[in-house]
Amino acid sequence: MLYCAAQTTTYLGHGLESLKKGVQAAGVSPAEIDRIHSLDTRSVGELHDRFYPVVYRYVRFRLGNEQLAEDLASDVFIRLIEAVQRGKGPRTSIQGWLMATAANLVADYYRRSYRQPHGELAEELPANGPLPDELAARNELGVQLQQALLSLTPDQQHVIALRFGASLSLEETAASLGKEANAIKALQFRALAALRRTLGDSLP
Amino acid sequence: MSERLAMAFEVCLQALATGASLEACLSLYPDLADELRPALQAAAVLSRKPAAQPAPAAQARSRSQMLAHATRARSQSRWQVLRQPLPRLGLVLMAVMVALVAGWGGLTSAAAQSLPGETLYRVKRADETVRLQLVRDTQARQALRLTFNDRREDEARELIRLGRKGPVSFEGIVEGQAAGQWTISSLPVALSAETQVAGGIGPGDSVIVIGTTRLEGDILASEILLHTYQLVGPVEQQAPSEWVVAGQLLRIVGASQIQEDIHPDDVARVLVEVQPNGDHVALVILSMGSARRPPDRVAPNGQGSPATPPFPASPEADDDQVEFNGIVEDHQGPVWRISGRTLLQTSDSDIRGEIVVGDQVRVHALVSGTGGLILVRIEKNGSDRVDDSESESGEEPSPDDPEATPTPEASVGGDSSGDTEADDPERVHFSGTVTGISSGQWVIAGQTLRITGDSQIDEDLGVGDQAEVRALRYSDGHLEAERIEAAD
Repeated sequence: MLYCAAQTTTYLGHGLESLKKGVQAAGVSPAEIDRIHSLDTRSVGELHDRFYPVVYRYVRFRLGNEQLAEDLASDVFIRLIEAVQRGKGPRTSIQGWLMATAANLVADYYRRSYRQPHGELAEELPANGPLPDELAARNELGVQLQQALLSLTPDQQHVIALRFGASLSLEETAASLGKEANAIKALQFRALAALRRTLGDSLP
Repeated sequence: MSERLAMAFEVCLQALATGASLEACLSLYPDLADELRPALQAAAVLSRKPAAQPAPAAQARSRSQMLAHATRARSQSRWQVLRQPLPRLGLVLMAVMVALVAGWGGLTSAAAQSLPGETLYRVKRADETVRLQLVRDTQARQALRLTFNDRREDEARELIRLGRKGPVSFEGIVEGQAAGQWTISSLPVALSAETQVAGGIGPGDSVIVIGTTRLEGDILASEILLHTYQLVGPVEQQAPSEWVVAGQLLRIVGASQIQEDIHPDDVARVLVEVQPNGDHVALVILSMGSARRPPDRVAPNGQGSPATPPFPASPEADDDQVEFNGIVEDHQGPVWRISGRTLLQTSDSDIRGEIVVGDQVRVHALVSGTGGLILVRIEKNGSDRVDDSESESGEEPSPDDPEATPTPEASVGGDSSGDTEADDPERVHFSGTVTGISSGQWVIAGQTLRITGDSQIDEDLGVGDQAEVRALRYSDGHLEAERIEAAD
């Protein structure tokens, strides 16, 4: 909810140019958005093929758990259909809407679970190659990194996950958040600096 | 953050992403190295995380689920259209044609915020009329009608706020009646010498206000009419869509209930509902025989000065009395359907407590000379037994009849719990379909619930969903939602 509200507010603040950039950065035309709202099977399928990987990567980065990420990523697309059915859903940026919804679901998950995802980065590390000592050290770093990420503000977590998890470009991230690229640069710089401070001496 | 630092940072990030070392990146900007290093160290750690790729099976599963949802959503929309009977289907087709030809969707969207007196306001009202006609379910239609009436009130408030003059009309409850200045649904309504006011209007009455907003910040009423009134007089004209009774033009709609075999010059008794647009719609027309009687309007609260009595409130020579137990199957305006019988509620009907569809009730009615049932008294039946037995003896209710005071258990279908102190609200539980959502109130299973800041509501619930409700019923009968959640 936090991200949806933030996104809406920002869109309103930046006006048409920002909206156009958002549509362009996500590579989606207004006609395509109209087709989604008509629930046309082909358009819905194409949308899923196109955006599922990026949504999945984002959620996986935030949660660090494959099964959870699969479930939540799937939920994001179901929410899209439900929103369209209610006459809502994306009007300008499909990717922005999907990522904001993903952020909401992740936030809901953490609110419900009341737990920190200890050890969940272990699965991200290569299964072969490193020696056991090295693997243990990486696991430890992974846990600390995940905890450090959770210590960031919601906006900072979101932008870091968009850049480093979903691998969005600066422009795509800006479009998803409805902000100017310079604002994203500053936000991610502060986020990374804060992350570094939180990690302290645990970095190699 | 300086522009140069921002640019250097972005360049270094991209370099890290391509596999460059941190020190190599920093060597590009030696004067900024100290500033860049902490953030880039964190970025380097994040960049080392392997990019997660979705499992093809999971992606395919998600795709199938999404397409299935989309198909269901499409079919539900289609079903909603096909469920309409033929005339409604015709309306749908007509609406579609209008949409195709004139871009109706965009037009109505643009008109949604228009106010009375503006160019697109007619489009807004026409769209509402079409939407009302497309809704078949009576409860849903009533909820939609209330929603549209809320809009009328909001439009009046907005015109007043903007200091603009504009024609307004709405249904509202009379809350205050100071001299020359009434308060109706929290809106200030001024009366002048030219204002036509139906007699006998008092606080709490539901009325139709027709007037104009003024720069003074209120509404100057040209007419304040009781929402419903009764008319007795000769039938002067009969046409499929219009009748004239006692000189009053009455519109006949699909919901109008008209007794058969009424002919010109017969005396008819009509229950009339005034629409916000000023139309007088006949809800029920009953024959009173062929003898002419002078016409008269009768205020529902009986404060008028009728020349003839309203619907019979006491036994008449040609009327029999009937009592029976039954279940309320439907209740629309003045018309009740109880265990298969249709009864007409009049201004003198004694409705004891809040009675809703599904309640077990005891009914005392009059059988008019024309065979119709006129509701004299209805009250909840405290007994679970419904024998549908009746006596036509004209006797008063038997001594074992339940008291009029509603019991917590019988208040709403479903269980009930909580204290039942005299002035304390009782907690009730029930479930049903959400048929209306407007600002501050929901309609579920025919019950109107007030929403407060403490009400907890599942955010995904919408009209048409099944919901479970926990609410407080206050002594004045109103329900306040504590929790509304999706039914399992």
